[in-house]
Parts: sequence; structure tokens; C-alpha cells
Amino acid sequence: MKKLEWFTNALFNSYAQVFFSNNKWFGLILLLLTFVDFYVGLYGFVAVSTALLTGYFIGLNEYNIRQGYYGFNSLLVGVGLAIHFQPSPLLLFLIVISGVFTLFISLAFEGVLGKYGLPFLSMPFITVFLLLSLASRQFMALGLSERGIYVFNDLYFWGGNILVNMYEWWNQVQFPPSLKTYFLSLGAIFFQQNVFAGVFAAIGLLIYSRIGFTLSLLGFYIAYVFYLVLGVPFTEISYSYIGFNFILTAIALGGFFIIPNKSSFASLLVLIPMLVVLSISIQEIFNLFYLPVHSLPFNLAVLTFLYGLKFRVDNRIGLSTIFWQQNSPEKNLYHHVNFMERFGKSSATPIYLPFFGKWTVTQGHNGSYTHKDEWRHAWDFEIKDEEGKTYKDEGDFLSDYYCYDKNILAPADGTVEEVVNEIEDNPIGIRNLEKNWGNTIIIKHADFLYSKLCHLKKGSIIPKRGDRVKKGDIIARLGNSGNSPYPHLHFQLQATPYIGSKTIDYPISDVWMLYKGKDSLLSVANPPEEALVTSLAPHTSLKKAFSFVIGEQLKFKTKEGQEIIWNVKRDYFLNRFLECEATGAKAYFKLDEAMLHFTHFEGSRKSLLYRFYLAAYKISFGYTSGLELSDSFPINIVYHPSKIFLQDLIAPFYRYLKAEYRLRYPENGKGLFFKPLELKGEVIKSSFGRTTKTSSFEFIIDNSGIKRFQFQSTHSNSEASWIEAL
Amino acid sequence: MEKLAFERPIIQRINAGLPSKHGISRKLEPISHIDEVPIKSLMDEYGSPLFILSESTIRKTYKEAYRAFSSRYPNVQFAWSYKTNYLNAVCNVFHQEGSWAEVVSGFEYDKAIANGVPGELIIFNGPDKSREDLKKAINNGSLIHIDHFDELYDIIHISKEIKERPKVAIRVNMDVGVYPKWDRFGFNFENGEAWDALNRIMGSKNLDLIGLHTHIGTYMMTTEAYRVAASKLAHLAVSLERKHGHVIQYIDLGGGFASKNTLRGAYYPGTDTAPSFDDFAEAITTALMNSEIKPSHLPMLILETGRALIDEAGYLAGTVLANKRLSDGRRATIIDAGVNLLFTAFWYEHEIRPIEPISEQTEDTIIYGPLCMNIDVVRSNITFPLLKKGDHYVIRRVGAYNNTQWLQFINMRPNIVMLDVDGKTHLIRKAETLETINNQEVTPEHLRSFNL
Repeated sequence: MKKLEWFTNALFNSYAQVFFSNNKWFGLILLLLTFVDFYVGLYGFVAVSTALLTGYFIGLNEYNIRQGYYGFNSLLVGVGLAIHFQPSPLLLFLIVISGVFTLFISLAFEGVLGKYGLPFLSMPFITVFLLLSLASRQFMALGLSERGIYVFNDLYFWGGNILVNMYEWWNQVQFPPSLKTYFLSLGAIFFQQNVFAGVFAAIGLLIYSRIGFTLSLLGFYIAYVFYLVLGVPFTEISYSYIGFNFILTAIALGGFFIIPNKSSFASLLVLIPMLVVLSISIQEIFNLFYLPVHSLPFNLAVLTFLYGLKFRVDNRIGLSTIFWQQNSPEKNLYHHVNFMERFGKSSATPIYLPFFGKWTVTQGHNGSYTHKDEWRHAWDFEIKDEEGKTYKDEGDFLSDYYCYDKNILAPADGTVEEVVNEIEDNPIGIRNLEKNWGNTIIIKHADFLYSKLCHLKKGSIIPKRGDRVKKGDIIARLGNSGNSPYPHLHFQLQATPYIGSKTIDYPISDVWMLYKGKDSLLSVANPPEEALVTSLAPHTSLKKAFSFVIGEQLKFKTKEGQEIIWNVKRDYFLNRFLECEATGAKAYFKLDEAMLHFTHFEGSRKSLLYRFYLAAYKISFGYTSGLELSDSFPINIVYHPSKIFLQDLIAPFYRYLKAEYRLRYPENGKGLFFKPLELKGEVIKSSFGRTTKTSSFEFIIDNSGIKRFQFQSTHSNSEASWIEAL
Repeated sequence: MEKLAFERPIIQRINAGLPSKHGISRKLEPISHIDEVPIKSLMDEYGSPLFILSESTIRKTYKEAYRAFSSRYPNVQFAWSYKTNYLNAVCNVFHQEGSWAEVVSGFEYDKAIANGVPGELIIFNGPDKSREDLKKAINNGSLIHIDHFDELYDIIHISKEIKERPKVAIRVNMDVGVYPKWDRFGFNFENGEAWDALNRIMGSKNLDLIGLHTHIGTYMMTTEAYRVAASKLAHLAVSLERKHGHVIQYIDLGGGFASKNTLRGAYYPGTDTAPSFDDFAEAITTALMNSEIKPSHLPMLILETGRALIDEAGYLAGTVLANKRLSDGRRATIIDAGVNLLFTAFWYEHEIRPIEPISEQTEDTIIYGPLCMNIDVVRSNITFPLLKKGDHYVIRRVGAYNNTQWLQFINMRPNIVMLDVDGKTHLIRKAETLETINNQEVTPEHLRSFNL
């Protein structure tokens, strides 16, 4: 039975994927919906099964099969054929053939479109269905279906009077005509031209996604109004399978492939009318060949628009395309907002502070002296004493300055691109405007990511051009060369390897910062002027406890004596995660030299791994006495789905629910750490800024790693759950 | 107009024209205030002589030292050397700044505990640790720096009896190119004793070896010695990892940094010759960074600097008792603080300044303390202004060792005050009285009375 588990998964997802979902309940609803017409349901099922089994048999990526990516196009083909032709063994055979055929066409589209980072949508279905529509005119043995005409006969045959009455009731309900067309259009996605199927699908859509449901209405009504304006009789939509194009496009571009927000909703105001024009014109052409248009306008519009967006150089219009598809507009939205909050614009290659000790930013981005225009994204660093002076004695000599002659470190791994090492250091107060950057080293860390460190001491740069450097290597000493009247370090990131290149806005990772009397530890930061910054040296035991190594196994026992095993693994995309052996739950994390961040959780929320995920959401390996970390969760991961139903509806515009993370380090954790270290923290849920629920947790860490972990919801009376290292 | 102060008449040869090779005649500028508090008013309130400590100078010096190291090395820790000055107020200033405690006796150990220093932040050094001291230190998780094999055996022995695992380091002595060689503390590096000790510790299953310690000497005027010491310890750490697969957590380079006092017989003044914290830090951290220790395994660097952190903050103010002329014609000035209070006068040519305004006239003078002992010489030869009885003086840089090595000899020990960062005065040690002394004494019954 376990062996077939992938199949049921893939089957339901194949149905749900028609609406981009991987919600199995939504899939089940849609599966039942197709069985409103028994043969349509049956043949659809056969087509999907054929495609899935073939995919499995020839060895396609199991994850993709499970997600239903290879099933939904075959499903549409199967359903489409079953509507058109009389059920017969011959049709069954044809459906099996076309199921396999569609699979391979899907793969071909995946290959071509995938290179451009685009989804293949229902292009395979359209291709195969058009081919079959043309070819089937020659298939004399296939009888055209008459079921669409004698609906009551069929209904009576399958369900007797009750079914007939139910069907009648639904069709008799007095909907406004536009709403009726909306339901018909929804049902038409599965070739079901009746209100009953449409309502059924709408309920499923609402369960799957509130945002998706809102978008479906929005897309449909924009088109509706536009039709009225153009004077095209709207009945056109009712009798052709066109209406759902607007619905699917609205979901796809308003919230699925693009993060749902004000901009994405507004964009539909322009996109849908264009789509109306496109649909009508395609229909005119296809009519010549007596072919149905089907979802071709939707496919063309979505692919063209997504492709076009890729040519933007910035995101000034606020349309953020998805980089990690989670198959739900809500999840995408919450994770996107959370990700932007936590990790900023991007720090795929973390860049660290290039020195030891605490330095002060004496000029930040858009600084008042020289960090202007193309060179605005740069920092100047100096060391200040407790009186705010940067020098001792009178400050007449270079050696009076605290930062002078201090070691400068490589900010990340990389290759040295450029070295200037022979410019004389200026006496105090003198600038060298001719060679204004002074002695400089430029290091390449990644494509289009270079760091530049300037005003170094003459002859102090150690690596040569082309040398590899590792993060933290001593590469030079600070001097006073170039446009530098007194010693300071100029540090900037740029996209090209030249001295004088313009700067790029790129953050520094894992920065402890004291700014305006408040200290904080930031995963990524752009320290402003006057901020005191340093990197915290990792604590060996903390690092050991939380630096999960792939292949490692974490074993714990619970209060009840049950053994819990978590394995450290990674997936095809090199994302690392902990997997609970018993429940299969997965907690994804991101790990660097100084910090652990959990990024995502999948699986049962009853598992201890879920609580561990919440508690170890953000852990720094270095700390100052009494340091407090805070962070925020994507709310869908913390709240029960039923609790955020209302929030989901307005989430693209306003989010009133919050889930915050707090972690406190001990006040006196200064020693060499022989005694176990206690980290305590909370997960705080709030609504409109009022705390609604707090859960507290505690880690006890010793030299061997995590010794004990405890988690308790304070509002419930339940006893704390805890695990201890085995 | 204020009345001019009276000065005794002197006869002096005129030194006109260019300064001679002995330099220009130097007027000793009076020091009337410490941290903007008049010294005279302090003496009026707390008596003469009087020790005065400046809290802001202590903090400033500490921060300067910490900055010198922490801007060069990622993991730096200072441990306050109790023997240098274990007045509780002083210790606590350092603890507030983040220093651990470094003690060398059971008494100092108890003092640190009483000050509230957590056991695991106390480094226990020195050749004198009783079994009781060791047990206490082990139970508290303190860091024990083993000085000799007998102590190591004691610890191994104790470790079998108690549950806590002793956290130990060994003190290593070595040739760092300075004379005299300090080889009486710890295990020698060159003759292999250090390895004997390390092998024995690694062989014992009950001891945790967590660090390596050296203390190459005192009042070091050269940074090169520290470079050599740091390199040798780093080498030892790397070899230890190679041989036993054991990574140590810290390297302790002890103290010994010179303060800005001038040593007796030195040609140039200490203010010009003593290396700065930056110089010491540069030598030590460069040696560690350039060693074979992996950058990810860089151990914590512990420093036990005492003298250089506190000397500058201490002042001894007092009053002139008398003037007299010696048989060779030299002037002698007798002041109310002698070697009983100023133990360091045996090594330093202390800088001594008047408090009240004086003229430029000076005379070759010998300054004696108040003791009725021939050895009580504060400065044997100084060009000193013409202070008379009742005038006041202040001696600079007396913060290190004097408050711990002073003698209750002939006189009682005076008040010590501390000026806080806001300039407020705090009495931090009360002057001794006859009761203080007599309280400790027990006179046998038959000696209670006499009939003269």
C-alpha cells in the first residue's frame, strides 16, 4: 500500500494543478466534479493514470510526478475527448494513447520553456487537443457524443430522480446572469457546462485559496465589464469555453506566479482587457478551422507577460515573481513578505565585516562627504574610543589613529582581481586626489559581486592578483593612501572588477550593531552612519550544537521514553533540512559561519520537529551577554489555517496577524562554557498589535550539543513537552 | 594680590645659553587637581598621607588596552591580576569592564569569590595552592594553572575523589631572549618538562586540559619577548593537536607589560621608553595569527596585565615633614610617606610633584620617608623645588603593588579614596588605627600588667 502512496498523491495533485494547487482536498473535489458526467470522469481518470504510470515507469523525477506536473495536461485531454465522443473501447484506447502522448509533449514543453524559467501551463493539452480535434474528423469509427444534448437521460440513468431534481434545482436558482456565467466558466475548465459543477469548483477554489478565489471573481468581472463596454454580447462567453481564460489568468498573474499585492491586482485591470482582445481574435482565426480556442489565450498571455517581466532591471512596479513556488498564493505571499523582512533583497553570497573588533561607520550610504551618486552604496569605517575620538594624543601622526595599521580581512571567499599596493600613505590632513582610491584590493566573490577595500597601507597587501582568499584571511593593513586625510577603511560592493566602478546596494551579513543606544544582531544589515558594528566570534559549543551536517543524525528521547530521530538531508535544489524519521516532517534551514536560520516547515504540526523549528528559528553562534534576538514568522506556518481565513482574504493589502520570535542569551555567559548554556525564548502571536498567545521554549546546550529542548504553550494547561539528547 | 609663598634662599650656578647635555633645567609643574578635584581638599578631609585612585583613569586605560587587542584579534579576554591591587573597589571596576579574576593564593581566591566573581571566571595561578584550595577551585570549575609536578599529582589525586572534572592549564616557562630567564614558575619548554606535563595530563582520564599559560617576566620593556612567547605557545598548541588530537581553548600570555614609571638607573624616562599596549598587542597577535593554528581554531587570548592597567590611576599625596642639609652639602627633604607605603620606591624613580604653585628654583635633593630606618629613601637624587615644612606633594603612578605590598611598619596605613567618574570621592579603605592592630593581638594573662 505504501508503494502506491505516491500515486494517490500524484492523482489528486493532477486535478488540483489545473488551478495551480497541490491541495489534495481541492484535488478530490475536482475529481468528484469530473464524475458529474460519469464517462468524462472515468476517461479523465484513465488518462491521468496512464500518464502518471508511464512517467513513473520511465523514471521521471518523482517529486514532479507527485506534484501532478505531468498529470494535469493528460487529464484535460482525457476529459475533453470523453465529452466529444461516445464512450467505446476504441475511445478508451485513444485516450490511453493520448495520455502517453500528452506526457511526452509536456516534457518537451518543460524542456523548452524551463530554460527560460517559465511554466508549461496547459500548452501540452492545447497542442494535443488541437491535433486530435483535427485528426478525429477522419476517425469514422468514433461516434460523436450526444450526452451533452440528452443530459436528463444520463442523469436519470446514473442517479435516478434525485440527481435529476438536484441538477434542475441548481440550474433553476436565480443567479444574476453574470454570476451564472462565472460558474459556467469555472465548470467549463473541466468541460462541464453546468452551474452545479461551477459552484462545486468555486467552493473547492475557496477552500484552496482565498486570494485565488478573490482573483477569479476579479478577473472574470473585469472581462465582463470590458465586454459590455466593447458591446460584444456576453452570451458569447456562455456558449464557448472562453470565460475561464480570464479566471485562470487572474489567478496566475494576480497571485500565483506573481506575489499577490496591490500592484498585482492593479495589473489585472490592464491585462484582462488585453486578454479579451486576444481571445476574440484567436477565436476568429480558429473558427475558420472549426477548432475550439480553449485555454490558448490564457497560456499565451501568462507566458508572454512572465517572460516580459524578466527583462526588468528593477522591481519599481512591485510585481515580484515567485522564486520558490509553494502552490498557494497565500503561502507564497506570507513567505515572500517574511523572506524580504528577514533576508533583505538578496544575500546569496554573504559578505562579512572585514575587520576584528568594534568599528564605527563614519560615513554610510548616501554619505555627506564622498558617498554620492554612483558611489553612494559604500561605508567608511574607523575605530573610536569611549570619548568618540578616533585617535590618541593630538592625532598629528598616523600611528595616533586607532584604526591605522590594523589588519584588514577578506570579507568572503573569493579571487583577487586587482591590487594597487604602491601609493604613499598621506600625512594627516593631506589628500591624494590624483590617485583617490589609494592602495586598493578588489576581490571577486561571485559573478557580478566584487568587494573593494581602499586606503590601505603602502606595501601591506598580501595576496597577489589571481590568488584565492578565504573569508577572514588577513589580506592587508589599513593605511592612509588616496583621498584620505586621516586613516579610515572604505568598503564597497560593486558589480564590475574595476577601480572606480559604481557601487551596488548589497548588505553585510551577521552584523552586531549598536545604533542610537540600541544593540541588535542582524542577519543582513546596511549599517548607517554612527553605527558601531562588529562580528560576533562564534561560540564553539553553540556552533557545534546547531551546525547540522548533512548525513548527521540527531537523537533524542521524550518524556515518555520515546526515541526521536531527525536526519539532516538536502534536496535536489541543495536546500538543507531536518527530517523527522517517524512523521516525515521537514524543517528547512540556512546555515552560515555565524548563524542558523530555519526558513520553512512541512509536515505535521504535532511533531516535535515543528516545535524545534519554531524555537531554533534564528540562532546566532556568537553572542554578547544578555543578547536578545527577534524575528518574525510567516503567519501561515504558525496559525491554524482556519484562524487565518479572514486574514487571507485581505492579506495582499493588509496583514493584521503577526507571529514574532524572541530568543534570549544568558546574562553571564562569558566563561569558557563548561556549564550548560540556557537559551530561552518565546513565540508570540498577535492580532492588531495585541498579544493573543505566547509559547515559551528553552534550550540547554553543553559541549556535546543540544542537551535538552523544552517547549510550552503558556495559554494552554498542557504540560511542557521536552526532549533530551540520547 | 595673593601673597607670594616664601621659599628658602639658595645659591645656584647660572646655566645660561644653550642647554647642556643634561638638558634644560626643568621646572616641575605642580599637580593641584586629580580629575578636577583639588588634592589639598582631599587631604584636608581624609588626612595625609593619602592614596587617591582615579576610576576614570582605570576605565580609560582598560578600554585602551582592550581596544588594542580586540581590534587585532577576534577573541580577547583580560583577567585582573589580584596581587597587583586587590582593593575590592579596584577589582570591581575591572570586573565591571569585563575582566575575569587572576589569583595566586587561597586568600586571593576567596577574595575574588567574595567579590562575586563566578568560579569559572577565576584563573588560579601560582606555586602555592593547598589541597583545600584546589578542591574548592575544582568544585567551582575554576581554571587551574598548574605550576609544578607535585601540584599536578595533587590534582590527579583529588580528581579521583570528586565528581567535578578539574579544568587545568599548564604554566610554561621558556627562553624568550631576555635576562634574567624566568624559569622558576611552571614547566620548561626547552628541556621538555612542558611535554612531560602535557603527556601526563592527556594520559589522565579525569582532567580537562583547556589552556596553555606563560608569564615571561615582569616590567618587560621589549615586545619581541612576547612575540617569541606567543609563537612558542602556539607551536605547543598545534603540536598538542597533532599528537593528542586535543584542541585547547585559550592561550594565556600572562602579564608583565611595563607601566610608564621609570626604573631605577634607567637613562630615559619610562614615559618615553615603555612600549604601548598597541606595541604589545601587535607583537602577540601577529605571532598567533602567523602561527600554524587554523583560523577557525584560534584560541581565546587571555591577558593578565596588572601593572600597566592600574599604575597610572594611583596617586600618593602627602606633606613635607622637614628639610635638612646632609654632610656632603646635599639637601634632604623628609616627607610623610616612605617605603612602608611606597614599596615600589625600591625599583622606581617615582615622579614626585609639588601641589602648590612654586618658583622655578630647584636644588639637588634626596627625599626620605618618615621611618626611623636607613633604607627609607623615596628618591635618592632628584632636582627638586624648594618645598618647606607643611607643603604638599603628590607621587604619580603608584597604583600597582603598593596597596598590596605596603607595610604596617612604624606607622599605620592611611586612607585610600577613589574618585569616581563624576568626580565624587569615595573612601574605599579606612586608615588603620591602634585598635586595628591591637585587635589581632592576644596578650597572655601574665603579661597584661607591669609595674614601672
